[in-house]
Amino acid sequence: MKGWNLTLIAPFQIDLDASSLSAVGTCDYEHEVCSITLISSRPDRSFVVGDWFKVRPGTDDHVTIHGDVRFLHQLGYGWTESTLRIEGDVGTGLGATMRSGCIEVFGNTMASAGWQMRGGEIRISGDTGDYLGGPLPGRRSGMSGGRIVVNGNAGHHAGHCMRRGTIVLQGDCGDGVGTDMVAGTIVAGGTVGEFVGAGMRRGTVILAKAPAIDLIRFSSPRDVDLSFTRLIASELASVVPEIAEAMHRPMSRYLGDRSVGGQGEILVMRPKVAAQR
Amino acid sequence: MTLQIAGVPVEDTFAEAFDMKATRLIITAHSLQWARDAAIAMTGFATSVIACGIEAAIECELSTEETPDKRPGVAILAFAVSGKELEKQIPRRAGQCVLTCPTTALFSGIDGEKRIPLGNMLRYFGDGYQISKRIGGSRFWRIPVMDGEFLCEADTARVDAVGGGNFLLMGRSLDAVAKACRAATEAISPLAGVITPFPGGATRSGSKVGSKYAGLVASTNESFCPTLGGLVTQSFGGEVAAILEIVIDGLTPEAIASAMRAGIQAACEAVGPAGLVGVSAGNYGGKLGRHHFLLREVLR
Repeated sequence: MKGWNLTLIAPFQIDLDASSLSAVGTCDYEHEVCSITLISSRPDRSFVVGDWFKVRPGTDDHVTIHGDVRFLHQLGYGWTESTLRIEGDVGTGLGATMRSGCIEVFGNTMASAGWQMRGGEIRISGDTGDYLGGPLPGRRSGMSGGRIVVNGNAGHHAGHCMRRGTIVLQGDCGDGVGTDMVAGTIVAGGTVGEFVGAGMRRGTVILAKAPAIDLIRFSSPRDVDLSFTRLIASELASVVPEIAEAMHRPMSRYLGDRSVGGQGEILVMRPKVAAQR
Repeated sequence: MTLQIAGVPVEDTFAEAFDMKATRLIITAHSLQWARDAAIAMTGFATSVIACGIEAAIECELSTEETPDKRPGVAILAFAVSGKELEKQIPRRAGQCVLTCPTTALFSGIDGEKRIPLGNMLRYFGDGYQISKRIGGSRFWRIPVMDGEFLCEADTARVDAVGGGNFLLMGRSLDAVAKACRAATEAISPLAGVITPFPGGATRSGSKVGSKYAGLVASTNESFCPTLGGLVTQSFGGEVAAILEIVIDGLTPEAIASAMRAGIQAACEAVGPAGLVGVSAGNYGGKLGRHHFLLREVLR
């Protein structure tokens, strides 16, 4: 696959559906990239990549977008194999249904990043919006594979309806982490809002900071020392070393959501015990 | 001129080995003792494919840095004549010997395309409470048990391997050959990719194919039984009081050759010509196995 550098010429003033931009990997010439159509929210106008971006061949097989593209939605839709790098903010639906490869964002993303993604990895250096790794509108299952790592904060309902895969949140996140989760793993290093795991049937939510957990929906906590958390910690050691280190310690485990007959689990890491003098 | 190692003559013959299928498993536990206990149980009654189904033994002990879950562990190697037999034996032994052992977890220790089920079969013990997790590209099963959870990788790989590498130590006394044998197995023990599946790494019951009794696939190899001297044709003289055989299974022919070299060297150096009359190897005339380990080439 050939790499490309796309540099934003002028700031966006209109929302564009950039899902067609995922075909950039099949392009051999600049004019082919420039002629990719971007569907706009204005039915009377159609745009192509060349209207907004200066296109240059890349030195490797990465596709790099330079500039604030927060009005560019569904970027990396169905992405496979190679790396998409965005140096700036991005709109909604980043990496929706992506299958493999990597999407790196050096900035923030709006809502619904990793919608129904199936594989690969999304790394977001800044903050992200609501419904991270959630389902496409009208669907009942969220991400079913791959990994999302957010260095900043996340909005509400991260991992809503998640089926498989891993979400790692280093910062704080809003309400409803892991709601209606079916399987998969969410690791949150910061504070979380209310309704953690509400409606979850299976899956694992691992929290560094103890939230208010509804003990009607979830069982009373039990202290556990589980081997699989050490495996996850090893996998995440290079990504989030501090969180990974804490995952080697025993945790408190809540089972539920009992209101839906769920067998999911919320694991809360224990704080490191200070050495006594 | 006869090859000699530490003054011990080495016969110009070859060890005949066979194609086998193998897998490596890693057992971890809360302490090395528990991991070792599980490994010993799992590799019990696994000396020979003739009647045990598989040949298996502990390959090495692993530090906390070397195991997937950062707990002390043990690596075991298991060999069978067919992939089907391995698929039958491994889940059965894992279920009865590792799942049952306190604090243990079970992981695949080898890569390959063809798979043998582990957790994929044992998960049903969870009776619906088992949990599947995909971590780092591998699938694991978490099965609730009375001490917490039994974590088990979904499957392991099986690879082509070689079984039946061997050498024979012909001693002037039982004491001497037993000492030489121990030295050989201790030298082989640290080597990766090989096991010596018999008790203490050696066997006294070297066998030939078939028997005068119908239905028996193997019987004693009378041409290597010193007590039958004068009754049957033997290639050694009356100075040989006892013969012990080191049998080696390995993941590659090179690993077996290295193990044979290390073992023969150590045995000869341990007791010298005063203890060993010579070193030989077992074969079936080259008709059964396609791997022939010529002693003079192995020791070159």
